[in-house]
Amino acid sequence: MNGLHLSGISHAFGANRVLDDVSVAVAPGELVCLLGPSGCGKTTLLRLAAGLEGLQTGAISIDGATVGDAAAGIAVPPERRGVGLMFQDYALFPHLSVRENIAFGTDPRDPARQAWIDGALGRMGLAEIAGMYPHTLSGGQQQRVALMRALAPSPKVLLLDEPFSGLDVTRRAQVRAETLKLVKEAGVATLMVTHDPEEAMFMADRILVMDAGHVVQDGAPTALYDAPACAFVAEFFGPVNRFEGLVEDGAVATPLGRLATPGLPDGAAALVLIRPEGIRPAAAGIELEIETARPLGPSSYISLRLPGGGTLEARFAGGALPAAGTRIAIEVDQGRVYAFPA
Amino acid sequence: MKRLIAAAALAATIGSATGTPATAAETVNLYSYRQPFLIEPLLKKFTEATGVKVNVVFADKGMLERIRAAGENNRADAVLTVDIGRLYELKQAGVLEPVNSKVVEANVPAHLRDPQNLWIGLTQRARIALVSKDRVKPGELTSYEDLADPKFKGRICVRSGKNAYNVALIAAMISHHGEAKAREWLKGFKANLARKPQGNDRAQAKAISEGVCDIALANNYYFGLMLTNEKEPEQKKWASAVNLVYLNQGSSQYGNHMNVSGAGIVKGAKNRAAAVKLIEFLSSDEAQKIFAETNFEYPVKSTVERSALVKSWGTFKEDKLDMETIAKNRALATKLVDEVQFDEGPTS
Amino acid sequence: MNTASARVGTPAASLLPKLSIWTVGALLAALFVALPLLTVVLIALGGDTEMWHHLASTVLGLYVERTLTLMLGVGLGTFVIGTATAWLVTMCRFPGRRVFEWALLLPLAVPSYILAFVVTDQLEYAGNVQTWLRALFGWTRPQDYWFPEIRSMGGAIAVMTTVLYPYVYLLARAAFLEQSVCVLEVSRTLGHSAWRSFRRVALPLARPAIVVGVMLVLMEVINDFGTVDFFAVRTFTAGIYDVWLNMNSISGAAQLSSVLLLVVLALIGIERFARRGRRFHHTSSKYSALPSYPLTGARGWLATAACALPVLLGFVLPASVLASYSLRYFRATLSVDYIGFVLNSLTLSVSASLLALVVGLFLAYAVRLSGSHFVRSATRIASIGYAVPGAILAVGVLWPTGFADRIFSGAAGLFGLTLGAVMIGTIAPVVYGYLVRFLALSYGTAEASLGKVTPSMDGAARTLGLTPMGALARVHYPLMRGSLATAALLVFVDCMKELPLTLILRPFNFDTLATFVFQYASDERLEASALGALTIVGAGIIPVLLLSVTIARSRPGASPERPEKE
Repeated sequence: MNGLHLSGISHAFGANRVLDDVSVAVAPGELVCLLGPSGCGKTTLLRLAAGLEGLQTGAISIDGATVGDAAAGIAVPPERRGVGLMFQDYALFPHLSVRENIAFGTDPRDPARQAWIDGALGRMGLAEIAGMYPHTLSGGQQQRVALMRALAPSPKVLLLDEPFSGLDVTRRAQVRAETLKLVKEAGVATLMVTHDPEEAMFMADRILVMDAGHVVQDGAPTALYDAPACAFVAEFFGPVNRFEGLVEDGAVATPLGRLATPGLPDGAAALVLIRPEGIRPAAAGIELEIETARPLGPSSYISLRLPGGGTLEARFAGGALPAAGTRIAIEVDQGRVYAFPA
Repeated sequence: MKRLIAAAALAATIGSATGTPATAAETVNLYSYRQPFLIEPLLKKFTEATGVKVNVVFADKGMLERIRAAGENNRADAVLTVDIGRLYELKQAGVLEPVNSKVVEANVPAHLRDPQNLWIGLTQRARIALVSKDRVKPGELTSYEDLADPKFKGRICVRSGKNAYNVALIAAMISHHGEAKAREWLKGFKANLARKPQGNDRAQAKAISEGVCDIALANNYYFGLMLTNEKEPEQKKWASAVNLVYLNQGSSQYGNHMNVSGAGIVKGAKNRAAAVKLIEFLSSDEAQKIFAETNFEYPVKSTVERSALVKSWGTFKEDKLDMETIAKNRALATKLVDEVQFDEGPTS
Repeated sequence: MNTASARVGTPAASLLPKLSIWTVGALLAALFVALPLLTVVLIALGGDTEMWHHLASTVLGLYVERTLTLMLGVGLGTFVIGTATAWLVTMCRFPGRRVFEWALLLPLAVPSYILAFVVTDQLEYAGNVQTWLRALFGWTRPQDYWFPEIRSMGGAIAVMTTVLYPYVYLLARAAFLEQSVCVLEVSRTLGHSAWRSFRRVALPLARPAIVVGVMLVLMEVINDFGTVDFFAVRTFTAGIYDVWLNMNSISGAAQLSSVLLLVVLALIGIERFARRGRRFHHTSSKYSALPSYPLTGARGWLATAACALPVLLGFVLPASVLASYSLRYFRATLSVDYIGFVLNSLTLSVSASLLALVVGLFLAYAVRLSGSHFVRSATRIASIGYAVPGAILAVGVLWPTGFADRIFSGAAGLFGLTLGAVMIGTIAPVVYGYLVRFLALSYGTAEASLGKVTPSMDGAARTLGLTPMGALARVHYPLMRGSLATAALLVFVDCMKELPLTLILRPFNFDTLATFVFQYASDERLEASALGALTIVGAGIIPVLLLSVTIARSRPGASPERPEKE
């Protein structure tokens, strides 16, 4: 039972239930992402893990030791849990220098940790600014200082709350890669909270998608993208074309023809989702008129007019851009079609 | 000098170390409603005469509550006040014990002490009228009742009706005339005011000298203190503009209103003997003379003469009204002040 | 890991105060501070209500009307002067601005009863002003000309406004300094003039601070007796003393005082209600140099005059009058134990301000930690001692200390020892009284300043291994140092001036500068103790100057705090 284990966590603020029987396990060296829209209780779960919020229901253990158990009345204070928490707003101490901020949670008499700090400052390119104060740093520098401060005491568990939201888009990719490297080197059980699926897929070994206080799916990033467990997950990970209908003989009739709905009984109302990349140009098939066509670099964005009104979004890989107004034959990749009960 | 102190300290140390009763000076703890600069010379004399050290706290209110709150841990032995109101309040609260001293009983006439000697009057003060030398003819104002006479409209100054001395005077008016008549009198008095009641007694003399008004009420000793004030010569100027008039002196009249300053011993006083000594001293010839000479009050001890200045104002008939009767009417007097809205001044 | 069975949490549980050391400590500390107030209420409940009928049918209406007029006048006056001068010195450039930054605080050091005395002394019939006018126009009698009555409501409002506006100035200035220039610039680009930007953006943002300042002023107005008595303005407080001392009813006086407490609670409640739902955080993480609109020519000198007037009236005038008296009566003052009085004043004021600081910080931090509304309300109630007339509060202090004395001496008695009073008659009750009276200053400041430390900093410190106490010491305290110094200095200056509590609670043979001044001032002979009064003013100047330096440094930019999210 090494790593971080949260089991059966429920939490409410007044009448507002933000977590409902949530369980999460993070193994040492593993990076798990909690992914979900704002206000779905992700941050609360982090604060519960850190001990900054009183546990109402459930239990939490770190490396096998129970640090919180609502039923047993166990509540180890945050300072004795061995967790590192990086805040969304970084919460750097304005009255301390970069070096002092990073060394805040370490023992100044511990030469190994101090050496680690100095080494890390060098590796992260922060050595020159070690004596500067937080308000003089750029956003990216502040982010790195906050991350290093959380890692410096060599915590057993690292908690990251929207670690990249304070950065502009152009910096994000680079900082993300650096962070991933640093966290993986530290080999610490890491639980990260984000609302950005791309970020989650890039960073995570495993993703837990949360919606309204529940974990709706738990799996590897590719599994979530390729095999979403529900419409919420499918839509959360990217744009989809939606069709609704009643199941007849294991399929639903759509303007694109009958699409299979495995697992749904006949007569049930079904929701069929098709990712844009599930629509491919074909030599023969359904012919639709092209409404718009725009290049996106490696692929093209195409919108097609559907016979009964409405449009179909498609993404074609490479090749020449078809002209708007022309008709084109398409086929549907059944592997990119997801059917759920409506 | 230093050597002397060192020797005394050594003696004290040895004394306490050997367990023999220390010859440390006797002390008495005093709560005083009188300003320290007024009583310090007296207390100094007392210490010189008896060797008893006096510790003082001066406050203009709250001493009764302090005694009560401390309960059996109270450290005050004696209380000194400036009017009958506070003395009576302390007595009513049950925090005083009888002084029981033959010396005091011999020095202070019976009508100026409590029947059980719970409080002892130490000096008398008369609430007199100060009138403009230029603008008030002799005999124009002769009584407290005159203050309500419409002929004095807009000509009288006085301090707040809530001031202890004025409350006592109004209480005396109630005793003499009954509540209803006293109320009418106070109404008439108010109607005659030249300005809203304000300032202290000295300020009223000042107002007369400035021509703001012609007549004021004041305690007699303020007149004396102003006349002899070398440090603040402007006060002499104020006093020189006025004459002192004793009121209600006619043969059928009851005499000038009097108040007492006094003292009492706190129930359970830890230094009772010293406290008795203090009150005995304060009623003695020596202290009474100081009261008379430096503060121009009337000594209670009949053998002590008034100061020459006070004597120069002539003899007068005192109102012999029982002090406690006055004290009992104080609450009612305060209410009358509210009822006629005395402190709002002439315009309201 | 879906093994754990679902348990339904009880949401109500999180609303109850958690029984941590901090919560319990805060409640105990709040109780300790509230004890004298509770005593006053208890004394009130113990009496009959007969005096209400009398007061209601006679002067109560007048008292209430006067008190409200005074509150309105002084509240409005201090708001206008405090806010306007704060805005001028913070945002504009004009001759003398740098001097006014600190000089505007100086009247804080002048006790209002002293200014009242000095102003009256100058403006009354025999004073310099009227004497000069008479000489000029050949008048000889008061009936010859009209001159405003000094001892009046107008005089009281003017004097109290002049000495109390620095509270509003102090807090308004700190708030203006904290505002981001961006919001003002945005307002300008949206077509608002500088004046409209002030009215529509800067003023609303500074509102909480200004309201706190005005509330402090109003509480001072409510509890004041010395000044209004001097001006012969009979307010509610005059009624309280009247019932106590002339009708011999401490319970009646306590009842009237309790009504004052209710009024203050209501004021606080109204303010909270008006502010509900709105949050006033730092408006940006970006700070640039303040703009300093240059005011040139006549407008510049007008600004100079506007700032100079309160300083001249509230400080230069009383200080110079006191200085001239001091020279004349120098010997009289030196004949008493003047140095001893100074030391006594300093001992009391320093210990009380340190205590108020520690208790205020502890309470504010505990409220933050517990997050409980109950604890918050309890501490808020505990810190309204400011509004009770000093002498009544003294009585409230006497009873609990007397009770403690009895417990101590009773306990000592069990061991055959005679202890006597260990509290009453020492300086302990005086310091206790100061704490109760001035906690509002230190608690309010600590609370406001803690509010500026983002909660995630608490969390960061905790997860990095600090206990709550450790976080307070290593994170909050360093960040709050400036504000805390401000609080301590405010309390110090007020303690130096404090009179009614000191008078009643002090030990035997113990005088402070204020009590020394009072024994003469009560006889309207302030001249004789002018050096003492001047020393009170002087002792107030040093902290006031330090205060101004602290505030100038407090401008963020040195501390990039971010707006809170979620």
